[in-house]
Amino acid sequence: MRAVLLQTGPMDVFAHMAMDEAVLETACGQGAEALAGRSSSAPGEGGSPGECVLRFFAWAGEAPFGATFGYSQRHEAVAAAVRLRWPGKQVPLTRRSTGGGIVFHDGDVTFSLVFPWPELSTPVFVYREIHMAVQLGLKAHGFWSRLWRPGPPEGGAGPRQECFSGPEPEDLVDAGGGKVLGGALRRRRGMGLYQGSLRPEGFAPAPRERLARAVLEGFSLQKGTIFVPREPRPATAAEAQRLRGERYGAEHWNKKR
Amino acid sequence: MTNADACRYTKSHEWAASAGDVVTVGVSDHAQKEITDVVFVDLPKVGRKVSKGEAVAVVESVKAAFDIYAPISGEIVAVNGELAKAPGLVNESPQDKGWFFRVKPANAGELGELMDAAAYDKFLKAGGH
Repeated sequence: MRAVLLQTGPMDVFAHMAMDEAVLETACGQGAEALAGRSSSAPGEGGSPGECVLRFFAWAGEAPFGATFGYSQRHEAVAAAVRLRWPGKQVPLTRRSTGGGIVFHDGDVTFSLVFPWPELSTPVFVYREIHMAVQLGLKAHGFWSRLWRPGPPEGGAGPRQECFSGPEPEDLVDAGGGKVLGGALRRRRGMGLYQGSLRPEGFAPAPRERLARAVLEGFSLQKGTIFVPREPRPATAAEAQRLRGERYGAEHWNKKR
Repeated sequence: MTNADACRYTKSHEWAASAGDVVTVGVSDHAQKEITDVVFVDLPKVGRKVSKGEAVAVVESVKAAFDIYAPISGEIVAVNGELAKAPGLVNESPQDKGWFFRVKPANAGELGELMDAAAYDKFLKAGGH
């Protein structure tokens, strides 16, 4: 199986969210075609219909790079949480198209995956599959982690305002039970977008580059996937630029709630 | 209560039920099970003109957001305000209290192009795509 390792340069939070959505959008045409058993006439970022696209974020500027928050979260509450985290700093915030809580981007390994999301697959199933791949890669690099599931006394934790304030079912935790990997999903026209954040603290002193390699190898190992590095197609890059200006960098989107 | 057997269905799992000159739209029981516990519903604005197949609403469950599509073209004439306070109605009562919006059709023929209950059931048994 082949997939694309999409290579983008250092960007801000707005541009990263825009790039992910542009990749998902172009893949949606392909996904629909693939599900119908046809080849696509309008190529997306996948090399062929239904191929996955993996991308690691490189950040422009200095940490903290910014914060992203879930589709339905309230901007005011997010801004307050960000002020608490980074007092006195002007940090860019943007609403994701995926669900989940606030993610503070200040040294995490951030990555996204666009993939065919089969019918009859619940978000929990998809989330678990992705996290099992990362767990496999971490293990191959000697980093221990496990999928977290609530025990009876903990019950089913509801949605958390901050992604890393504690684990939710199928998140990865380290030996001490600290959350090391969280993510969020969007499903659109048979395709899915996963945006994940891997915290390096649980694996200190592992450098971020090594953790990113572990993530890549996990996806490779899980399904025998060969990732081919490539830059975004011009149409995707143009769409990402449009989305950065009209959506992710715009008040009407970020303050819609 | 909407009669599930009298509804029409899309391949993306929305249902549409006609009453008078408006069509009520929601997601099927199958869809709500796939989405799992709904925590938020983002509905379109009343007055918005929509095209068949256009993404017009968003449903969020824990960790995941899903696009919801217009099954027919027309104008949004009402939305279910109850979902803002109680998004779980989508899970509890997908084909009744959990309806999303009402559309005044632009093209009466489009509703007939959707699957009836028997065809939708067959579609689901075939894997849903």
